[in-house]
Amino acid sequence: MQCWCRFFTYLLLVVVGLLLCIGLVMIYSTTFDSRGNFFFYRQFVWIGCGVVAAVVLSLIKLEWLARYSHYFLLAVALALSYLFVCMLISKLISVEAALKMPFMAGEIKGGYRWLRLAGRVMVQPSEFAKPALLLFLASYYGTRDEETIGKFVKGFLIPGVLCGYVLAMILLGKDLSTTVIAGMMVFGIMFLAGVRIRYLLPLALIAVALGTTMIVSSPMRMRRITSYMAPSSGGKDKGDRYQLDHSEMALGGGGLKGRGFTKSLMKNNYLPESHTDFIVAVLGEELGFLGVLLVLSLYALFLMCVVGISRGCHDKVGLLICLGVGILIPFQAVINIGVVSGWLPTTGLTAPFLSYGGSSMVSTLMCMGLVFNVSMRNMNAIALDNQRMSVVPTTGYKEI
Amino acid sequence: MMTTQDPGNSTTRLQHALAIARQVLARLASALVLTGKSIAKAWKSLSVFASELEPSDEPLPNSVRYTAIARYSLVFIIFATCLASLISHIYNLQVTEHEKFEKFARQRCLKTKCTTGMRGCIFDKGNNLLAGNITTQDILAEPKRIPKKKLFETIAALSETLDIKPSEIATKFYKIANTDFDITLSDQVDPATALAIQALRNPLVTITQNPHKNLNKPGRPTFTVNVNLDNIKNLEYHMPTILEVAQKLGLSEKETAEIVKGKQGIARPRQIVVKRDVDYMTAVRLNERLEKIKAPGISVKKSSIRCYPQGRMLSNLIGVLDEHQQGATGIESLFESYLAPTHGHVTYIKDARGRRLPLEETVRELPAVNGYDVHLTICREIQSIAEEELAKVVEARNPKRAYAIMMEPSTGAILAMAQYPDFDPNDRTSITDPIAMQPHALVECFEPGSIMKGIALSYAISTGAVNLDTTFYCEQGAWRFAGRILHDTHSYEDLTILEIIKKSSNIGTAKAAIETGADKLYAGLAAFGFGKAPKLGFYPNGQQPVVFRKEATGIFRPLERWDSLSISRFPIGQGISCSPIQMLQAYAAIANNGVMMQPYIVDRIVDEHGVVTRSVPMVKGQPISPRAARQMTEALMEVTTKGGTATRAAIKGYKVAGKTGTAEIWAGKQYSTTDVVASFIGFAPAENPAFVLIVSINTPRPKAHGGTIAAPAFAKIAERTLKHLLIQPTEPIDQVASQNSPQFQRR
Repeated sequence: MQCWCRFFTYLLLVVVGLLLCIGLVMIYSTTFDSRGNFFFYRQFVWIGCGVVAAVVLSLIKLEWLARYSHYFLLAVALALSYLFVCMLISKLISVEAALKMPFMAGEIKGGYRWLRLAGRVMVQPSEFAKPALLLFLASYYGTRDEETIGKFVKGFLIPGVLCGYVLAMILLGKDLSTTVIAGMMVFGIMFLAGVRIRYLLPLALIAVALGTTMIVSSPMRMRRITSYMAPSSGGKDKGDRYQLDHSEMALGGGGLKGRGFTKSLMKNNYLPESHTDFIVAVLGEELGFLGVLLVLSLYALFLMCVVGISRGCHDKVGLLICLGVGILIPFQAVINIGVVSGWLPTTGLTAPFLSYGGSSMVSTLMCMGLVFNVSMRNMNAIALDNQRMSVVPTTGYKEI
Repeated sequence: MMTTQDPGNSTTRLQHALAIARQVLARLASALVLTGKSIAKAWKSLSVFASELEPSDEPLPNSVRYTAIARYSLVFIIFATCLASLISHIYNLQVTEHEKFEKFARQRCLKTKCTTGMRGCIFDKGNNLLAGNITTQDILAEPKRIPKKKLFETIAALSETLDIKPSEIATKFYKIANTDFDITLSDQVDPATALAIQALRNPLVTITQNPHKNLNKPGRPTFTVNVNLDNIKNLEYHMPTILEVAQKLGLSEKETAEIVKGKQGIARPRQIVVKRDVDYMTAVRLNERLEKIKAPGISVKKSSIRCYPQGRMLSNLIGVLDEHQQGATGIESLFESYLAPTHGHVTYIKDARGRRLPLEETVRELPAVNGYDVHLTICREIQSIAEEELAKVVEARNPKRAYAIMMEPSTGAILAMAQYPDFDPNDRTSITDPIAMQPHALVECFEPGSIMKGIALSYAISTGAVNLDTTFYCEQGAWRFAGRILHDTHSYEDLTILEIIKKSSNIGTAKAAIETGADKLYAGLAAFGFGKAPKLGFYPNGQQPVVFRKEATGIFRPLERWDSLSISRFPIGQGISCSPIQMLQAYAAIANNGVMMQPYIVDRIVDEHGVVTRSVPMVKGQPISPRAARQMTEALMEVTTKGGTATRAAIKGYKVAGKTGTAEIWAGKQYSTTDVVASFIGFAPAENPAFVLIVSINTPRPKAHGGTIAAPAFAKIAERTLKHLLIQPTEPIDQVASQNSPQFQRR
């Protein structure tokens, strides 16, 4: 048992390490011509920050984390609410007034999503909502018995309202894709924790209906959908299909084996966001179908490891954390690669561990910190079990 | 003030106010307590969310784990389905449709650009540059791309480095910057539609004719119709105008809206030339200044201008370029196909901003080829001698035209070709006479007059009809023949052929010609090349020659149109005309023992890599026998000796053979008595001629004879040329000191 747990933990470390390395290398390849080492070193810094956060999270006792889990979520909810208020101020009063607010970074890429901590350091609270939601839901459901979970108010409404509030705030920050992936995780954890399906199914229907109306009501989103349906124009379209066209040209041009490392054509100012959301397109162009397949199989392996770790759990909190991460990261990866390859309509979702971006990298690694916390906890517990079950050694027992 | 007047009242008021304040404070405090309590309550109610994890020694109960894992399997199935579907989609995209997307990507990334080489240069035989290129820089500006903040600095930089008034640049920029947008409705409009749109007389609509891409194949003219908007914000306001024009163009309302709204309709900000032909260092300085300012919108483009470092020298022959940088006249036009650079093209991978990427693999390149260099047979030193001496004559006599053309008789190479009027090719305003642009020595002809006698009589000798000792009676200066009287300048009685040449007797020549016979004379003159273009040009070995196209053939009637008078007039150079080159090649035949060489002007053509194609001397024919040629040379030598018509053509130390000619110019009804063409043609040294030279002065004022103006000019040019060619004097010079004698100087 302990052996398996350790194997999956180390395999997970290797998988995450490989993905981070691939991401770093691709960021270097993508941005070297235009910005030199800038993004490469920056990504190093972000990974460093994320690793520190992950180590801290994995060393803190899970009991402590569980006890304060709702405060973390409340902090995130407050930050998101603050952003929403700022957006309201900018809409109702003036943009200048909104900019006067403390920690305000202003409107970036069409939404109020960033808080400016100091100077050029900015954080995106919606990214940190993911680990906070994960921890909160896992600890909430993990510490309650099945009977309570089965109830409507305590098992569904109370956590549902808090999570719903956080998700709504993310959505109001014009970040549909993060809402979708976080919502999927929330829904998934609730489902796995044993919330009754008769409560969850209407919720799912409502969410789908809401999503559809959101898409239909916004002409921009509608255009994204229609352009997604249209065939490739070969880069002639300068409008909505522009990014998708170039992404498809990058992947399609790569072929089976790719053009070779650093030889991507589309990274040369053709493909927007080539180092962040669309890094897999450049990867697919340079390393070909085999490269994309490698990345996808790494994500699949990731899922396997996380599920494997969850098998050794002695408590439900750990189990739900592992399974929640197992929903969050592989699905985000599949959606990102689906978007890049034109399988899904365009949304702004990063590829976990690969894309450039501070907040997303730190938040993803924080999730990993939680998983490692659980796995270490499991290994300790299993070691204790084994100790108890094994024959007590005659020497040195008293010293222990 | 109030408190002192009414202290009692004030204290009560104060107390009252204090009471109110106390009340307000009390209420505030209670409210604070309330909110505090409610906050505390809310904080407590947070415990609803709280979760207390107790460390458990026991493994998770199987029921919990199995629920989770059973439910997780559903998630896993969804994930696996998505993954499989995604992988198949990507496989399709990357492997099955690879070629299609590869094609798209290539179309997007490859750019083909034209490259041009330099036009070939024109040199003389000794590699002296006659026409070359100067690389210059054009300074171009796109005023709309210059940000307003940096406009002032940019204009200052431009005006200081390019030495233009700032106000001038500002005005130019302002004009462009204020014509805000051009919407191109159509760029393929036929003339009729263009006229119809013109008829609308709308000041916003501009119609411009498209430039022809291929000048040699003029197609139907096409026009571009633009609607100019002073401001894009006024688009709605101008929409009726646009629609009206679009209707004429046959565009529907929907199509028009698409053109207007689509960005392709809006033309690029217009580019204007700030200054052309700026030298390299100025351009570098300007670039440095602009880099400091960091303002976009100014660009430097490399171009070249044709330059003629020798100025007026040979200007007629070399010619000039037209506005498309193609040869318009002279050698520039004739050798256009050689001089013009071959355009190349380069295909490279660009980034989205059009910059070339340093990826070598897929680059195709056909390099541009520089034009060939053309080396003329002209010798610059001899040419300048000829031009200097001719200029002196021109200054003294102010003629309409004047030529001094020199040819090497043994090869046919033209050594010098001085022409008047000429022009300065670097300054086109100097072209006052339209004929000056052309190499008029090749294009125009003249009645040669007496210089024709040498040709006619040499042929007469060659046929055996006469020889140098044959005597003719010269009728004492006037001879009636075929109803017309033929005059001599002086009256002579019996003259031998030698004397006829020496004295230039018209009557004697006519009689000798009659002796020879019309048909034979005709054949002879034709053999000498009269009536046919001399085909001056480039004669590479085994290749098609390149010859001047507009050469004059001269007037030389065919035999059946000769009347009874012709036989007496043609040999003395009346009623027949030729270009100086024709006359030159005929005399060269006499000088070259009766063998007539093909005259040519281009010695060699050298390509970019130094591969040389040479002109080879070619024999054009042998109109007279060597014996006749030698006899005629003997007779022509007499002309420059004492008693001859051209004693002033003699050169100390050399024997000169030559013939004067003073041809009256036909003035509509009769020969003019005032206007003559005074010529002298001859060669030196007479025994082994280095060159044949014709000096011909058309309409000198005051009137002068060939012997008085052309012969001295000939002597000066010939003497200086002989010295330049380092040809040893053949005759003993009596006294070396005599060079300083007054007699020598007078000459």
